Amino acid sequence: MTLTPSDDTLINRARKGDQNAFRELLERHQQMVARTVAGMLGASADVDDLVQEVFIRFYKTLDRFRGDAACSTYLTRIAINASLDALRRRKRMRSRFISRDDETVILPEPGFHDTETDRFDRTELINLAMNKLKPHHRAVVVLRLVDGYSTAEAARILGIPQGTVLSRLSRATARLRGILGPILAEED
Amino acid sequence: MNQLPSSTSKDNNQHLHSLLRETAEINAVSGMQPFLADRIMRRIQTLNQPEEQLWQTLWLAFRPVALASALLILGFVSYNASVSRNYEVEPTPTEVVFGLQPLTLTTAYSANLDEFLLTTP
Repeated sequence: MTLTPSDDTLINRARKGDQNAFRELLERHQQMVARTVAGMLGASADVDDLVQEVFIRFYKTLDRFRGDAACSTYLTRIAINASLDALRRRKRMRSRFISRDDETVILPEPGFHDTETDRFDRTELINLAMNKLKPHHRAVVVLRLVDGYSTAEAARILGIPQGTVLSRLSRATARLRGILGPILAEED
Repeated sequence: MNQLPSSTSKDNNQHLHSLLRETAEINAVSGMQPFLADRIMRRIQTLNQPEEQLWQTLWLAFRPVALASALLILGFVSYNASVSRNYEVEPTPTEVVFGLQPLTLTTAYSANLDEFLLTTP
């Protein structure tokens, strides 16, 4: 019977230049990182690039990883920061080249009829609703509701007080419920 | 009485939670290209030796030029050395290498002003 090496063991081996150890870490956590990045960016071709970027940053900062937090938490922090950077870049690009498509997207308002819901694919609607959130609110939603971190863990990852996490989460979920109300009501 | 709204709100949260998670999973699958681990490992391998690679590329590109320049300089130096053997005074190594006339008091004071005026427009 072979024991699966822990993340810490793999990190120590990777620090000494063992590339197979880093590859194992990568394969172990790539789905989780991809989910976090996809939660932040939505359906986008940038997801693949950004996941690569996260692991490259992780590799470059292996020596700085002290093991205070779990490897997955450390990777999530890198993923969130990289995604926030990407969203900032995207915003700058949008302000330079305003897309007409973006302007013509009409989000259904709360209280719209079921027939209108049919026009939107559910996934697309959720992506649109997430896009309506401010990046920092989105980060809280992704950490708490998508990745399942506790309020304390989310606060530590984002470097903000727990109260701020709770208030951002409350505002963000209220906004999401407003937009996704019909979907939520439909399936209850 | 208060139990009902609270449980409904909890259900809503759970539902929102599962919807968001499901959407993120779908986005992750649709946004990812195959062989991610291979591509990242390849990038990491090139990341390890960027300076060495740059030096090797530069050396490969400029090696013929460097060799030709070295041969040319060697040719000039040997020619200058052979010419400087004919000088009356022993020249310094710099004068040998650059093929300069040794500077002596005789050569310094032998400037001919008439020749200078004739050659100057």
